[in-house]
Amino acid sequence: MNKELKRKSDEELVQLSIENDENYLELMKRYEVRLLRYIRRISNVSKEDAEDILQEVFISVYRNLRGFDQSLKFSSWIYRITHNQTISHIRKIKRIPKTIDLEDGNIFDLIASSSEMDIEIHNKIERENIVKAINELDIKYKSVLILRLIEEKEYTEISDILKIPISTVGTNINRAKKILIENLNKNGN
Amino acid sequence: MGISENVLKNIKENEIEKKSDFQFKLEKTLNYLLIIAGVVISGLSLAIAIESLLSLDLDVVSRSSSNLFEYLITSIPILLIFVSIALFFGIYLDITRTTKSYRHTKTIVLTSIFGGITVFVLFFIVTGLGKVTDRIFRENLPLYSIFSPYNNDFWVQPQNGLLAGNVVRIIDEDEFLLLDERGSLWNVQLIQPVESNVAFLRINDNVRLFGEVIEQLRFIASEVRVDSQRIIIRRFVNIYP
Repeated sequence: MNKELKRKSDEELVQLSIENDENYLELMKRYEVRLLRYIRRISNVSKEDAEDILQEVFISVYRNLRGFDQSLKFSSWIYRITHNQTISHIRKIKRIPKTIDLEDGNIFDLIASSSEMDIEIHNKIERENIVKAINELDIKYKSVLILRLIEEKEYTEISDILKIPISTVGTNINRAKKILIENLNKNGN
Repeated sequence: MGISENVLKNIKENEIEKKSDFQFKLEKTLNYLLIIAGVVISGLSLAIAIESLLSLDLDVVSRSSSNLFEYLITSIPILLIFVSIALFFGIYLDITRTTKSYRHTKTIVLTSIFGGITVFVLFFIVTGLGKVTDRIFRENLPLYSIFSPYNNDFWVQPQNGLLAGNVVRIIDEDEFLLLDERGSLWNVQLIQPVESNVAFLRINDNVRLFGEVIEQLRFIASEVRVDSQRIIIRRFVNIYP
């Protein structure tokens, strides 16, 4: 049964979850790690806070399963809810934590090594500069950059997640890269 | 136990329910109705505002009002324009929040809403429904009437040479009976007819007169305006033989 569920698409699992709550577990497990990472990457909240946000996301998704718009990808829908919940959490605490967890150093390597960026990391100091530069990014730029370079989402998916036009996705990614490089140069000097 | 297992346990223990299909359909339907109602009301408001402004006799208003700007800014046409603008942005926010319009640029979404409202503005002007609604509101909503540029107090000032109302009977080419906005029946006579500005007046026409009272409920009009056109009526056409 479990193997059968694993072969199902997200959208099929949504239907199965509507019929039986147990199937929802499989859906949550598929996204647990990815979403937890996404929450922490865009908000820099603590692990505990990120887990609390994710729980709220899963409950919200569960309550709204019947409202899922089949014309969207499920992943876009759940990322959108996660994004909104995280933003709402940040607004509630009225600040964005300023430190990125260095354990998640992967993010810097991923951004730097992305084919869309042209940054080389030679040493620890450069890595710290990238941390600082990313921290200085506005959340709207940080989100598009993470969705595109780390989560490897297509422009249409990012458009659906952030509810912005596809053209704006492109513009924001380019601006984000530009600001990131400017911040890197500034921090490097 | 991981987060997913915890959530499932929480759902079961607290008996958290999924929202029903009906709830989603109802929300969706109400939302579409709200958007349509917004577009229609905005169109109607703008139609009334445009017609009122076009028929605004600025010369008369400026003569009768100590502060024309203040008068205009608190009058119905301007207030209705504000209502239309507020509705326009309300519709925009609602559409972007609840539909997939975010996939298009702001310009396309805003232009579409503007186009929709324009269609209704034209509809209300062409069919005359805008004027009818304006009249119904003026007659039935005291607050609306107070802020209307053509409220009763403003236009029924025969002692100051202003009189307005509906033509109820045409006696001959230079004389007709008028029921003013406050319900008084006036005998109106024309002076200084001008040949070049011949127009036709019909029973039930709503007219604005400029002239003077010569005795109780008798008014001599030097100028008659129908639908804000500055016309001196020379000939009357009685629809009854």
